[in-house]
Amino acid sequence: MRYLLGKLTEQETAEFEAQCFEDDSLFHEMTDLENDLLHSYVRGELSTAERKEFEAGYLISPARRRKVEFVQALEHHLFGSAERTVSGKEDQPPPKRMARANFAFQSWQVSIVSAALVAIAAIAWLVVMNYRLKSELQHMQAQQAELRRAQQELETKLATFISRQGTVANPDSQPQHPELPGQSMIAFNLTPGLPRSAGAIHRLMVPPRVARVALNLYLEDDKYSTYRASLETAAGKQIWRKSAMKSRPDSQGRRIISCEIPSGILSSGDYVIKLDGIPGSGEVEKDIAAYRFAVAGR
Amino acid sequence: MANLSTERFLGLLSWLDSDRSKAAEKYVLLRHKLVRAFERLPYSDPDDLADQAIDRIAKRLEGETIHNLNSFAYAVAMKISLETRRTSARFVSIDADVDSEERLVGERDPENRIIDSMRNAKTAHCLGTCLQRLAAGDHKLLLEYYKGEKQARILHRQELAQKRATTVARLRSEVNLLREKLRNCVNRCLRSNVKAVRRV
Repeated sequence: MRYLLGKLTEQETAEFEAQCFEDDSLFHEMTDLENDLLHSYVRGELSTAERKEFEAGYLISPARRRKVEFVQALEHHLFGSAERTVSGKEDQPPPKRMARANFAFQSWQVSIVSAALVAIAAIAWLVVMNYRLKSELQHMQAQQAELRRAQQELETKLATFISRQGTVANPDSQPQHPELPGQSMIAFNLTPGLPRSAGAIHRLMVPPRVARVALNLYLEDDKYSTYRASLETAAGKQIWRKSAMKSRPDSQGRRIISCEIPSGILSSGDYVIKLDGIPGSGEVEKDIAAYRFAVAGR
Repeated sequence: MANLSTERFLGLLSWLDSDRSKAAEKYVLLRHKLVRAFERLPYSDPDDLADQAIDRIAKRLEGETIHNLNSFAYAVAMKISLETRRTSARFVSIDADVDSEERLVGERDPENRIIDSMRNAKTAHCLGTCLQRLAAGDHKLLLEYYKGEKQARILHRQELAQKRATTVARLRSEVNLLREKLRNCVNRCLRSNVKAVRRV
């Protein structure tokens, strides 16, 4: 077709023509294609673009234009007369117009079928996507449940480990978050008041790789708008302080103050956190509560 | 085929095939190939050039041994094409001027239009005559072969080949040969009309 429409280079054209001379079947095939193209052109079967391409690329010589005339005459003799004989009606549309009408009808049919195919494809795609999303959601939910189960298991193991180490003297001083490999913070709950005995002191096991220690200080009476906490060693040296701290409820609704302390300032030994209450107006009330604890493992 | 003597023509036919009927078919095919090779040339008659090529091939066959006639024929065709291009480059076609004038004015020259319609009428008349000379089976074959549009036409040809107990490729070559004979018949008819007019 590219040869017929003059789209080959001179070299390619020469090579193709040489092949056509050598190969009879190729020559017949090409001739057949050319004749079909001519008949399609004469019958008006070509699209506007195809027709323009044909006129610009094929009709380049008088000899080829005469071929079109020959085909026009042949079409008239073969099909013009044949149709009159078959139908016997003089008002039948000429073959060219009939061909165009058929072509338009076929185009309309093709459009409808194409639209239906597109709609079917879109619905199929949506169904597949919906199914895939559902599967992904189920998979993610299963993963989440598995993670929850693993976390619970680890918490249990850690609690067992801590109880074996004898670090828990008071249930309230149990770490709220288990120490997981690579975790940089550990939390403990502390209740206020002076311990009745040395054995009842909160002993906190702080592993060396933990970067921060969170202490949840339980309040007996939460009546201040903000609080100020200070951490002192057993010798009475203040090593950490923080102001404007607000209370918050824990999981059971009890009021607590959370302090995050850099583990670097803690070494093995006894400590006390003192809490000052700051009302909305008026003076600061000092030492409203004290939380004693001992650090081990440093 | 003005320059080709009967003796030389018969020599060519016998070279093509010992069977006279097959030789005639091979001759038509060879000439068809040559005509096609010259069709792209502007301002020339492919049939005249094909005759020139046949003449040169037949002459060469008298004195030399040619192993591959197709290759040789193509080489001759290329040589003649080159000569024709050189010759036509020396001339400016009147048609070309008329064409450009048409494009400028935007209307078709009425004289050309009349000549075209006369030529079309002659072609139609000659084609009618030539079709009448065809065997009824051949006329029907042409009718069947070109029936339908695009894809339907292809399917119809497969059915037609099956009905005739042949292959599509053979059917194609048969129709091409028939069509080429028809075209040659029409050309001869048109030329004889011209000669008749000249005689008048």
